[in-house]
Amino acid sequence: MDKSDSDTCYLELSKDPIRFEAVNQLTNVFFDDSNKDVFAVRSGGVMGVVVKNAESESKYLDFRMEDHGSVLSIKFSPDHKILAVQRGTNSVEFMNFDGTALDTEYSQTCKKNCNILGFVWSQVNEISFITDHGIELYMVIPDKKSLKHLKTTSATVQWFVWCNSNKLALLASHHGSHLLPVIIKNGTTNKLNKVDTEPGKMALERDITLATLYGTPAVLILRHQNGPNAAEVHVHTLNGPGMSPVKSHVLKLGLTGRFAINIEDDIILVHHQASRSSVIFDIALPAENDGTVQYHSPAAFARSIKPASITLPGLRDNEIHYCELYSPNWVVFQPNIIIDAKLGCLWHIKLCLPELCENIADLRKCTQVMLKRTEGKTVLLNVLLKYIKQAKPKFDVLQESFNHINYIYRDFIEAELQPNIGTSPGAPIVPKNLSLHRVLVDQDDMMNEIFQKLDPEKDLPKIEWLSLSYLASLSECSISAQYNLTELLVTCLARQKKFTVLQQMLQYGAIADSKPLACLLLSLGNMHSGASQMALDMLARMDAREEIQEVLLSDGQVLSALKLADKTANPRKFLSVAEQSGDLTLFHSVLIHLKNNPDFAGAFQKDERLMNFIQQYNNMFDKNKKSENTLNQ
Amino acid sequence: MVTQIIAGLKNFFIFKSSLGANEGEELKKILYYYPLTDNTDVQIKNVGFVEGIIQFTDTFKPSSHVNSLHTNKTRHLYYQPEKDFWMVMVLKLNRSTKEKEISNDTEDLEDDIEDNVYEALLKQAYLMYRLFWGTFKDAKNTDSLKMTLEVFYRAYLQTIKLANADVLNMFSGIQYLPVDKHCFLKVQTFVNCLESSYDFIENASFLYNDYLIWSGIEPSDMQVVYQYLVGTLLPANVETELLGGSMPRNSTSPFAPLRHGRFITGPSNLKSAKTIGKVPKVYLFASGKSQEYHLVVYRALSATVCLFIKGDTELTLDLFKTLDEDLNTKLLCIVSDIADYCSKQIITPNLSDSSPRYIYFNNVNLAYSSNVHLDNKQSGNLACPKESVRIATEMKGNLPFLGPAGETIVKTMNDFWVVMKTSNHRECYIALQQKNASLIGISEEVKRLCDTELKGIFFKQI
Repeated sequence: MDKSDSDTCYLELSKDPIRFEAVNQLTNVFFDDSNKDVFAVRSGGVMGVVVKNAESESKYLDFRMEDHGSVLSIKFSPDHKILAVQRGTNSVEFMNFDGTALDTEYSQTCKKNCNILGFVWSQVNEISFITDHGIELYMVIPDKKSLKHLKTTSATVQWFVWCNSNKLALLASHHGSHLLPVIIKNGTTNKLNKVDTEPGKMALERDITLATLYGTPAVLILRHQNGPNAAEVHVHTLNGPGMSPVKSHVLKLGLTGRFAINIEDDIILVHHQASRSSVIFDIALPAENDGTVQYHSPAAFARSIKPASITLPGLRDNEIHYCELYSPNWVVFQPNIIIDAKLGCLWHIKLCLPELCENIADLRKCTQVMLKRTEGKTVLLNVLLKYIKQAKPKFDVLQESFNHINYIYRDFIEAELQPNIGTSPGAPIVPKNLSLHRVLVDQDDMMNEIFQKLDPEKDLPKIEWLSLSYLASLSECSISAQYNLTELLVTCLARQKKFTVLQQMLQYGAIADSKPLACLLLSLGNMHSGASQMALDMLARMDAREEIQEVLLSDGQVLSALKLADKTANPRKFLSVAEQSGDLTLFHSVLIHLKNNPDFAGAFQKDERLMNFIQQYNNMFDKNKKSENTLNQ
Repeated sequence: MVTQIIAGLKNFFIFKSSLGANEGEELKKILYYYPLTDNTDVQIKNVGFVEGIIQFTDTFKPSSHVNSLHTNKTRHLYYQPEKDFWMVMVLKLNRSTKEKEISNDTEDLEDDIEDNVYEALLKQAYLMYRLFWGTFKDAKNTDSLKMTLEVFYRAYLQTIKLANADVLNMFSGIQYLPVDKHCFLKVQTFVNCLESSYDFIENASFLYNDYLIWSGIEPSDMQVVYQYLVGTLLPANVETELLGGSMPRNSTSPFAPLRHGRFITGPSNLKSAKTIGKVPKVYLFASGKSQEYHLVVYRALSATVCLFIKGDTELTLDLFKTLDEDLNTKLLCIVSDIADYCSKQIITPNLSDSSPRYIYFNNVNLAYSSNVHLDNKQSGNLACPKESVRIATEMKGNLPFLGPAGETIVKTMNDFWVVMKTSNHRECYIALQQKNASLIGISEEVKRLCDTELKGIFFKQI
C-alpha cells in the first residue's frame, strides 16, 4: 500500500496490542468475549495458564491447572473468583480462585441425553449451560463447592451466540434458519419472538453478530446472495413490542466473499478479506426507505486498515514486524476486538475521525456522522472550519449542516427544560434519546471555534454570510440567538456599511431585541440615520421608557421625552436640556408643566437645584419684561 | 366650493441653460420638447419665458430656485436635477363649469392642486431616466443625450397619470410584504447564497407579487427600481402570463419537468433562444457615484428576483442557463413557504365605510402602506373622499415646520377628520369619519388605532 493512501485510512489497530503466547503445539489460546480475557493454556494447564485482559493491561493472572483432558472452553466468572472449564460435552468443572492459585475442582453435569454446546456466565454466581435441548441455569455456591439448579428452558439448539452486555443469547436451530433470542437475567430466562428471517434461509454461526447499536440490542446477519448479487447485512433491532426483533436496516456491501464485522462507537465496520478493505455504516444516517426497512450504502469510501507493526525481540536489536492485515489468522470479536492467534496479538480497532471526515465527500453527511460520535465534537468543528475557510464555501450546504447540529441543540435545550415542567415525583426521568446526543455544539462553541477563528479583516462578507446562515438555522430550530452572535452580525454589517440589510433584518424581527443591541445601534446612529430609528423601535418594544427619554433628550426632543415621563422622572434632566436649547418658550412650557404637575410639585420644594431653574426663569422673563418696557417707553 | 381639475400636460421640456448663450442660438438649449407639434418659435418662446422667470426670481432668493408658477390656466413646475439642467412641466387647468361665475375667487383655486405632488412627479420622471441612462451630464455628447431623452420620454410621458397623482407620489414608497422571520431568513439566505456563489451578482432583490421582501440595494435606488418593476415591467408580464393560460402550452413533452421560472429580462425561452435577449442596464447612485449594472429579472410563480449583475460582466446564454437551474429549484420551495405563510395570515380587512383609513410612511426604509388606495395602479380608486387625501398632501407639505415629532388635526366640512402624526422619521395620515366628535375623542381614537396598527415600533407613545 502506498503512503498517500494510508494517510486517509480511517481505521487503525490499537498501538499497543495485548501480546500473548501464540498458538503452538503445546499452547492453546482461548478468548472469553464476556470478560475480554485471553487465556493461554500450556499443556492443558499443567505448564501454566496465563490470563490477560483486553480492557486493562494491568490485569494479569498466572496460575497452574491440573490437566484433565483437552480444554474446550475456559471462562472466569465476572468477578474472576471462579474459573469454569469445559472439557467434555456433558459437564463443566469449577475451581475457586483466590487471585494466585486454584482450589480443588467441583463439577456439574447437564441433564441426561443433553450435550453442552457451551456455557456463559450470566451473572457473578450464575451460569447457563446451553445444550442441544435448551438452557440450564445454575447458581454457583463457591463456599459449598456446589451448584444449585435454578431453571431449565427447553429449545432445540444447534449453535448459539452470546452477547454479554445485553445478556442475550441467540439460539439457532434448523441450520440457522430459526433464530431465537433469549434474555438470561436475574435467575430467569426470557424467550423473545423469533428473528423474522426469510423462510428456509440458513445462516452460519460466523454470519451472526450480536451488538448494541445506539443503545438498542441488535442482531446482524450477514446474507450472502446467490449469483452475482453482492452480500448484505440485515440488521434486526430488538425494539419491537416486548423487545421483539424487527428487521429495520439493510446494509448494502456491494461486494462478495468473506466478511467480518466489528462495532465501534455505534458504527458498523465490515471488513472484506478479498479486497483487504473495510467499509463503514451508520444506521442513524438517512437512507433509502421502503416504509419499514432502510437500505444503507457505505457512509464512507472503502479503505484499508492503517498498517500496523509490532516490535519483536531480535538477536541483537528489536525487529519491527509489519503485521499482515486482513490475515486469515484473524478472529474478530465483538464489539471491537481483532485477534491474530498465530501472532499472539489482540488489538482494539479504532476509528480515526479526522481521516474519516476526509473520506466523506459531503459535508452534510459528515456532520451527521460526527454528531453521533463520542469524540466527534472537536473533529466536527475542525471540519466545519476547514470547509468555511475554503475560497468559496457553499452556504446552503453549510446551513443544512447547521440544521443537523441545531436539531440536537434544540433537543438538548428541551430536555434541559423538561424537569422544570413538572413530572410526577415517582415518574422516572427518561433520558430519551439522550444517549444519541453525543456531540452538542452550542452557540458558544460556534462563536469560539468557528467565528473567532476567521479573520475579521479579510473575511468580513464571509462572516456575515456565515453568521446569517447560522442564525437562520437557529431560527429554523426555534432557538433564540445569543447576544454575542447578533452583535457579531450587526458589527459585521455596520463595518461593511450594509445598513439596508440591517434595517431589513430588524424590520422582520430576524435579530432579537436586547438592550445592549439597542445601545449598539444608537452608537451607530452617526453612521446611518436609520440606526437610531431602529434603536428607538427596539427600546419601545421592550418598553424601556427610561432609555427612550434619554435618547430623545440627547436629541433635544424635550417635549417628546416629557410625554413619556412618569412620576419617577427627574425634572432636572428636562429643564437643563430645555434651558440649553435657548428656546425660551420651550423652557417656559417645560417649567410650568412640571411645576403645576402634582407629581413633581414636591420635588421643587425639596431640591435646591430645581429652585435655581425657577430663579433662572424669573431672570429670563424679567429681563424680557424690562426690555419690553423699554421698548414701550 | 370651487374645484379645479387638471386637463392634461401642456408642455414638458428639458433645457440646459449654459448652452446657446448667444442670441439666435436659443434652440440649442432645448434638449427635449413635448409636444412635437409646437414649432421651434413656440418652443424657443416657452423655454425663454421659463428661463427668464428663473433668472428673475433668483435675484430675490438666490439660495433656492423657483419651484412653480401659477397662472389662471396653467401651472408651471420647475426642477433642476443637475447643475444647469432644468426640467419643466406645464399643466393645463380646467375649472369645473359651476364655479365659472365666481372665477375671480383665485384664492380658493390655489389650494386645489398641490404643487409638491407634481414636483414629485417631475422628480420621478428624472430619476426614472437616470436609472436607465445615467445622469444628464454623463452623456457622451449633447446629440446622444437628445436622442436618449427623446426615446425615453416619448414613451414615459404616456404612462404618467396626472389626474390621480396624490400624496403617494410624494412618498414614492415601497410596499413590503409582512412575513415572519422564518420566511424572511429563507429569502435572505437564498439571496446570500446567490451572491456568494456567483461573483458577478453584486446585489439581489426579492419581491412577492407587488411586495418587496428583500432588497440588496439602498432604499433610494430601490424606490426607483421598485416603481419600474411594479409600475411597468411586472404588469406587462403578468398580462402575457395570463394570455398563455395557467399551463405552459409550449412544453414539448408532457413528461418534461414543469418549469415555473423564467427570465423576464433576458432570454425568454432558454431552449430555443439563440441570443440572450434584451437585458436593461441600470445605474444606481446610492454609493455616491454612478454604478452600472445589468438588471436581470427572474420570475417563478409569484416571486420575482432582480439580479444586479456587475456592468462589466459578459452575459452569455450559458450563464443564464446555470442561473436558471439554480434559481428554479431553490425558488420553488421558498415561494411555497411564503404562500403558505400568507394564506395563514389573511384576515378579512375591515373595510366598512366608517372604518378609519390610513397612509403610513417610513422615511428610513421608504416603506409605505395604505388602506386608502384600493389598488396600486394609481387608478384613483380611493376608499375615502379625495379631499381628505388632498389635505394629507397639504399636511405633508407643512411637515418641515413640525420638527422631529408632532401632530396636526384637521376637520373638514363633511365631518371628516384628518390626522397627521410624525415621529421617529415616520409619518402617518389618518382619515376618520365621525359625527359630532370632539378633538379629544378623535385624539383618543387615533391613539387607539396606533396602538393596534403600529405595534412594535416607537411611534404610538407620542
